[in-house]
Amino acid sequence: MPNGDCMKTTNDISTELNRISPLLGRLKSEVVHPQAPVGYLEDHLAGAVWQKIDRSKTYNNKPRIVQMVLGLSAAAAILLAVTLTVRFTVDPAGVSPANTLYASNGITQEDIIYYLMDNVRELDEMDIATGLDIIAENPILPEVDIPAVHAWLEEYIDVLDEGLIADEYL
Amino acid sequence: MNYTDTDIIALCSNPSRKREGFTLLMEAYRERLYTVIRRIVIHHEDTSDILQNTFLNVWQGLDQFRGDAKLFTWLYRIATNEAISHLQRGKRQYWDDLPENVAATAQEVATDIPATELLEKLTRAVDILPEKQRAVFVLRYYEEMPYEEMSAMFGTSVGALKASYHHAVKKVERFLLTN
Repeated sequence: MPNGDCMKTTNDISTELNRISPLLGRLKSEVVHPQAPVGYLEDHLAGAVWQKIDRSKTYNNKPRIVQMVLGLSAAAAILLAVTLTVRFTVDPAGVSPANTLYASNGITQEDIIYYLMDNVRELDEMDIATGLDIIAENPILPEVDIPAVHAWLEEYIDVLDEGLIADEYL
Repeated sequence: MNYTDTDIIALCSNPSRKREGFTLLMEAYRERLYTVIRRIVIHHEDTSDILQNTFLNVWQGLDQFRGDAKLFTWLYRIATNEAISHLQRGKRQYWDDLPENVAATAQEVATDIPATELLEKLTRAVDILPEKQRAVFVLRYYEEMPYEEMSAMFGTSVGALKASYHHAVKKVERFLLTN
């Protein structure tokens, strides 16, 4: 049973609604609550939330310089992920400046992908251009072969299409 | 045992019991938050994603929660902002060009259409509203939230919220009558 204040609020809202639209006012009494699939809230939700929390801790616990690098922008992060993929793929011995930087700070490709999944929702030409500018101008970052990044970006997107990162995050 | 908001906040403030407190918070509010998010974004899959992000943000912001607002109002704000951001990212084309004048009055049409059909249309009608107007409509129409509370949530004046709700109701009504 609602208390006095709640009843008053409900009555006010009801009066206001009936004044604006008697149709919606009458319909309100028929409204039913949307239901989650059986077991979702009870069994699945908490596990999924804890997984996200633990994953975010992994990212937040990285050394500050890594956070700076990752925090530049989502676009820059995409290109970093591309570059990282390139370096590891092309130069598995890990002698390139980029590889040294990432490795020495404990960052992994998985970290970047998690970051992308949490932060990147859209990817368009402006993001790519901004990311390229940031990478090119930022003294923290090693030299980056911009044309190579462009080329690998296309391949990277193909990888995304194959399900490395779900389309809904892009 | 039933835990009050004060109990939950106290547990969450204790570093060694934060996870326990947060688990209780999720259990206490998951259903209500699910409902409000689902009403805004309509589909379960989107709701699931937004609800998880909402709880992630809550976890990360718990240390900053000072209790100035009611716990549920704070949770509503995070959930609603997440839902609005989700809709904005979708860049959807809204069906905003409903005719201003309809031939029949609401009174006449309402008597001819079964309630179940109208309810289905109501869900679709909410989907045509712009993001923030949709949130205002859901919070007022379904959740019966006072304007003052909404004003604190959105940082918008009570007058602007009343106007927004009025427009939303009229748009929904027009949709029900013309589709």
